Amino acid sequence: MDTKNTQEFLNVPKGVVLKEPVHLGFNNRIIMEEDSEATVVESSFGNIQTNVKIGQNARLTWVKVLDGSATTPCVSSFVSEQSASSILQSQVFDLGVGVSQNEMRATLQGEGAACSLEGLYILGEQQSSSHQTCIDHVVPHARSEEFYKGILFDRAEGNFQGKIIVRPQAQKTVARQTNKNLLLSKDAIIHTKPLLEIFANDVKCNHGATIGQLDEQALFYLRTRGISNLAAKHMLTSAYASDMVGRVQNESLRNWIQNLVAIRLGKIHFSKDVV
Amino acid sequence: MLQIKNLHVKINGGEILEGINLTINPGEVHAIMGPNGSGKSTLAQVLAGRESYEVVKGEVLFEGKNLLKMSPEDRAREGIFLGFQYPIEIPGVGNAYFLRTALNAIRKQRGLEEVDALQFLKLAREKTKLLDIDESFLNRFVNEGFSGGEKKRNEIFQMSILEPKLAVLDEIDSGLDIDALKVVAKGVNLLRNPERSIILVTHYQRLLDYIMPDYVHVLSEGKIVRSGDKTLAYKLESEGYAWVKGTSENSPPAALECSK
Repeated sequence: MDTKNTQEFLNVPKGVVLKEPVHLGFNNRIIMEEDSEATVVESSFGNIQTNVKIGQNARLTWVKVLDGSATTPCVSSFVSEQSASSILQSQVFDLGVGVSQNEMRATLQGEGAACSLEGLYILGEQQSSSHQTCIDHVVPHARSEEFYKGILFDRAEGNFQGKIIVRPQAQKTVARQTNKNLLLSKDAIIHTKPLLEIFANDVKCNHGATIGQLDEQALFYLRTRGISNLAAKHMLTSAYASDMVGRVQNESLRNWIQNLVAIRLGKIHFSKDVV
Repeated sequence: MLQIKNLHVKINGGEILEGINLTINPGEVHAIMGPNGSGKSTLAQVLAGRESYEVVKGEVLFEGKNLLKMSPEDRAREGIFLGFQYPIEIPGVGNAYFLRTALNAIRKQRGLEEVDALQFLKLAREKTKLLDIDESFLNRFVNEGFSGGEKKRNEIFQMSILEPKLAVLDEIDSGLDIDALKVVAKGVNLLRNPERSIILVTHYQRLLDYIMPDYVHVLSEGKIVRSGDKTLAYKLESEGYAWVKGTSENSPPAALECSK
């Protein structure tokens, strides 16, 4: 793994639609001009900064994959600014790299802009990772969705913090935030914290966080069909992760991630002290 | 095939089954009827290995083996199938993948080769035709978004693929309209054969118009209070469960006698 810092710059000109995903490295600057579309993949780790500007009516899908084992903490930050009617979809697959800190800040500066921040973290052994997100609604009529799911086992520790700011002028904002966690061991820890700062009065905002174990009834159902306890647990855990993987639109990208996730899930230890 | 001897079962400290005796021979269909709360579903769940129930006394032998010592998956591999009253929805797990995994686990136990995805699809398609089931069942997630009738049909579909020796069908008729009931009954009847035994747990006599049982047992307050042939079901239908309730104190379980 090359750890020296490199600067990469991607400028997608007005009206250009990139059909294939673009892979970028460490310090990225992405400019999406009006009406352009692209999917950018970032899968290196270390200290990574990504700065994004999304022009009017443009669409960016940003996919980040953290996989492998790093000896030093991975710190990444992603900052985006969106113009009117633009769309950002970010998909983070954190498969556990030791220690990582991930910060995302999405600012909705143009009316009708929409962002969807999605993430899946799978942490085991003694891994820890934090995902801090902030969605800033500056103007009226913007929408944001946030959906992060976590699977934790062994002595892993996860942190999720989701901040949503709705500025006084950002009326008619729609913001939804969900964080769901599956804890597969008594020693695994998750901290989940929604932070809503709402200064406008005509908005629809909701948030929800859950922490749970595998569904005992589903487990029993699978076992009554002859599927072993362990195989049934793997089946349910993969199912838990599958909708996040299913959100990746590009097929080859989705297959690649599906494979990485399957390998990661194959290494899960199901502790006997929880279902 | 199945022998239940003096089975006592508790959940959360309360005794639900208070000494069940029942013997089922190959090829027999037994209906277990009873009012709500009589312990019918508990019996079905205990046979399948539900761990939240505590067996405090008695034994259950399946082909001479101690069933109560086996895990749910081992029971399934030995040939027991539970048709659930409320089949569980499992989003994210595909029906075909789930069922092929189950079939292969069971085939392995029987010393048969595993079937691959293609062979499974062929088999599954045959069964869908036989049971008037839409092929799209295979591509959906397990029971997710299925109507009540579809869920019950999916249970019968699974049973037809897994070919159990003993099927315990827990209220397979509940929530079904008459047409759906006919489809489910047809599926069950297709699976009747001289080696396969079936336990039908039901509240209503209606199901027994479509699946003719060899024996009918009435469960009340955790005990089998009456056993007989199909006419017993008609009597229950006309007289109601109040008729048997009062008799539970002094009537000995007749179950062992009826299945020679």
